[in-house]
Amino acid sequence: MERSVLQHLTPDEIDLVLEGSYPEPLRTHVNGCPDCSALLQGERLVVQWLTALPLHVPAAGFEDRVMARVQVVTPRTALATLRHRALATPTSRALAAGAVISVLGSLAASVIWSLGHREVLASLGMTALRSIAELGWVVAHGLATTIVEQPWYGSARALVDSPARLATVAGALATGWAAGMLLMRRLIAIPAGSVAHEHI
Amino acid sequence: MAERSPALNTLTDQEVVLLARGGQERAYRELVRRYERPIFSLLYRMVRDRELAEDLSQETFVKALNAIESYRPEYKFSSWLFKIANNAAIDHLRRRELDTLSLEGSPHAVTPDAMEATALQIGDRAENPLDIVEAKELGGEIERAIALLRPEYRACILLRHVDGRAYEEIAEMLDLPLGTVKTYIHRARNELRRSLAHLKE
Repeated sequence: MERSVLQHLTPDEIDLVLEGSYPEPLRTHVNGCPDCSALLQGERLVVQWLTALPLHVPAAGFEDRVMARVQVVTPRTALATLRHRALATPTSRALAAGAVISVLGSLAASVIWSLGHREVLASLGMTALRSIAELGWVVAHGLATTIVEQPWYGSARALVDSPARLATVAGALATGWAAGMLLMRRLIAIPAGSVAHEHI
Repeated sequence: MAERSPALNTLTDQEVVLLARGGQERAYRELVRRYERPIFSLLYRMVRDRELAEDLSQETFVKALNAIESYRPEYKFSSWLFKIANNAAIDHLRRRELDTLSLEGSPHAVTPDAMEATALQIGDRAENPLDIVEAKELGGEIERAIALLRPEYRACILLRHVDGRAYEEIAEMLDLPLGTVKTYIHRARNELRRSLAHLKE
């Protein structure tokens, strides 16, 4: 909005000038208006006086007197920080209490329900067990069928079709497993000697 | 006074607060050293009683530092501290309704010693004796005029023009709408201009 040259300075415009900004329309008005000029001069003087006021100094030993009443924070563990945050404000306390109540409430409700519906629970348990057993059988059957249908199955079966061959294969597998274990132990062993940058 | 640690005084308030939260006592002391004068000055000008201002300043720092873990770093530490100080002053003024000035001492002082001990000390930045007298006279007049303002005007004008806080910061510190803060400051400046008009000459 255009500013009329005749319009006196508003408080916001006075602030603007006091903060160092002096747009041309304001300057034009102030130059031609003795009232605004006097007002601005007075405000500037007041601000200048206030800005120049010295800081007062508290009595000697102020810092020590404060520190005598301050409890320096002890760094906390993650669990303690979590507990502190949960108890920091009324809102966080309410949220934490709500969470604890819901967990405990759910547990209590499930225990009570279980005690009152043992037959239903047993029946559900049996059904679940049966379903798991059936699922296990289907998976094992499917797996066996798939293996038997593989082209290499015949030759693999021929390898173990006599006790002597079976013993040889089992021995070879056991030796391989033992060698693998020894190798792994060597790889994961902690070095006993000094390491680079040990002194740092 | 203990020597200032060169490492600490180059850090920002936020960084010093982090060290304080880590349990470093020297960081607490640094925060006190940084703000003891501005906080004490504000409170002294608000309550016009040196002993009381010291007590309120101590309360402010003790309250802030003991709650350092609840300080939220997204806000300026100084704003938080000034807010606590201002609340302490306003609470006190509301309780005791001390709105009149006595440069000669606290209105509650009953003996000459107590009056002297609680008298408003006018600081000076001048160098020669004449300047000192003039500065004390001028400072005294200005302190007297500030003390005659309503407490809420006083808090706003001191924070704005003595401590150099932005309007938005003052509004946040004093829990006042921005428009109200502006109005208070304009009115305070008007009152000061009128009551100090004789000093222009």
